[in-house]
Amino acid sequence: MKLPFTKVLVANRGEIAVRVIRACHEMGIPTVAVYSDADRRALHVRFAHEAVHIGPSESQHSYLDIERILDAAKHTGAQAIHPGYGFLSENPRFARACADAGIVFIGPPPAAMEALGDKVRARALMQKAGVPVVPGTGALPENDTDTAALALAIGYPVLIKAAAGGGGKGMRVVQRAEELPSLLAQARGEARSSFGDATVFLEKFVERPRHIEVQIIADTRGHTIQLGERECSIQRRHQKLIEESPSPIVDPTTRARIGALAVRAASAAGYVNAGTVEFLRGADGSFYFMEVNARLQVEHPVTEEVTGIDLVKEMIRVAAGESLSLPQDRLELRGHALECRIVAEDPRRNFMPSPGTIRGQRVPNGPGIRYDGGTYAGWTIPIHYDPMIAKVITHGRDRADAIARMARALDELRIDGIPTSVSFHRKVMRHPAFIAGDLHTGFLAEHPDLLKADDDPLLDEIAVTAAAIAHYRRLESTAPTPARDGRGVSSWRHAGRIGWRR
Amino acid sequence: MKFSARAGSAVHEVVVERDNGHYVVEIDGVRRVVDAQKLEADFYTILDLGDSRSYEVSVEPRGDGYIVRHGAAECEVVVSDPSRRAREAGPVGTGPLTVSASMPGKVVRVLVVAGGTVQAGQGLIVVEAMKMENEIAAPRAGRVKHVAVAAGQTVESGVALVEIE
Repeated sequence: MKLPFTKVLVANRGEIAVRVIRACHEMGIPTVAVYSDADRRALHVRFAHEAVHIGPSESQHSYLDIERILDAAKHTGAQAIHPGYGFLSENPRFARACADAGIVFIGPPPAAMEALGDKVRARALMQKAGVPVVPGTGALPENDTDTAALALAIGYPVLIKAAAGGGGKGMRVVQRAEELPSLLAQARGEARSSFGDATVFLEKFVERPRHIEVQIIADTRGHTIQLGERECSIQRRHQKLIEESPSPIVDPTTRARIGALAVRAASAAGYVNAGTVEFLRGADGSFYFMEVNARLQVEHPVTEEVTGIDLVKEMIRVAAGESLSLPQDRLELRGHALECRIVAEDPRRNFMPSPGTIRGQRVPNGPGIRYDGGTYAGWTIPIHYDPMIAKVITHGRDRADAIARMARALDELRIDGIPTSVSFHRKVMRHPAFIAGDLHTGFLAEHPDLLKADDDPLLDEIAVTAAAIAHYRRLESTAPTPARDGRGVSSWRHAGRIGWRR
Repeated sequence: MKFSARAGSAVHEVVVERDNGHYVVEIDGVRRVVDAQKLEADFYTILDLGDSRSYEVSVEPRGDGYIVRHGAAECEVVVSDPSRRAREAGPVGTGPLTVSASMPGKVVRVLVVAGGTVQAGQGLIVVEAMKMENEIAAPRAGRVKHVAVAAGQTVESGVALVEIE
């Protein structure tokens, strides 16, 4: 069988580099890893057939250095580069530089990335293609009376947003018409001080929105298919923490409708390869286009579990010019899949980063469990990169089954040496509102108890018992005779010595 | 062997002895016989021979105590013998105080200089890790005696950053 490529370089690190390397090896494609100073001993370096050092730990001088990565590809004779997610994955300049160097970039064409990367342009493109966007205005006039008429036309509540915006700056929710003038002034002032540009516009405020996204993949021969939706409404500070497929709220009719919208959105942008079309779903059931993520997503495994399609292999084949491995009408969704992102953050200290050395690790196993990780016992998680350690993915015959499996898998998972988000995930899996599928992006704000530390009534007793034994063993190994307790020799100490292990 | 163990805010009196390969652990007068086997690094399987409970824990030494993890729950247990506890029970809130890094990372900003005065809660040092900045604040008011780090420097968790007097 002819290989799609004779060698693939993976321009990433951590769990996603391992994930891509696994797909290549299953296809019989030799792999090249790249690594920074901090990653010499990383799992992706150990897994790949070849590995090339590309610079210091700071990612701008290594994983974001286009020249160094292309040099590594040329030096090792790699035919194609898979960028993973993050780093250079959505950088059209990198995709162009690959093409100029005669290397295939496994991802969308740079022109499509550019069209979708600019939010104002993407919004206009989608409106033209007939994909619904959140109703809104262009830049607002200076005259507040005109603005009031625009707001009324959209319908309250409305959202004031800064044109140059980001990070919630210059953003205000307006519930009633009488609040509009003062909130407009506030938003303009904040936009001016934050971005040096006071331009603001209005958008309809979507209440209790759910984040629902559709996976698409297109080949170079004009075929685009959608692989169902994922719901990613459990977020903290706009970071997804838990994802699932299918969404508990999407029925087959809706799935077909938003799937068709996603295909239309991708086609409008001239999209090729794997991508994700993100929608907001309002409490009234309407869907609005948000943006396209022009890359493989962190949460792609839940789609793989329910469709049986390996998205990374499909990306590699499509990049080599092959056709999609199946037409839309042969796609079947089976069961339900969930993913929990395990991050090196401490839920007991407001999710503060907790990089450090993993002293021991046991990954969950057994029926319906998939573990995509990038760490091992003895590995030191560097301070330079994002905190993701692994993703636990479960697949069950239905949602309840997948949740029960996840709860069980999280009980088995052990990562010693650093605090992780595991305790948070365990609580979510047992939370009635999550089990009921009553999700929206404000879920964690509505249930702040989930962000608090675990309550384990037995913990104190267990912890003191275990610490006492560990302390005893430590003193025992450093002193020939255990420290006296000041009350003389107890009746069972002598008996105890008989049992000392040698 | 007798010592005290602080878990959360509670201090427990603990006596541990060996007995026939098992451990006899007495916590605040309640005696348990347990079979504790160390499996790897910091990892134990523990069987309570009284009620047959089986559980796994990791016990990681840290400072004067241990971080114990059971399932996803975590508890710090600080162990001390009675004499050390007496030494440590000095007056609180006065005297020199070392502020140390609460997470490993890179120092991105130093907000104070030696000789300056600080209020309680005032930011001292900003440490960055994993694209997140964390401002370390003064636990109480005082004069900055010494700043031990500079911007750009990488620090480990627990490393002294600033000394306040």
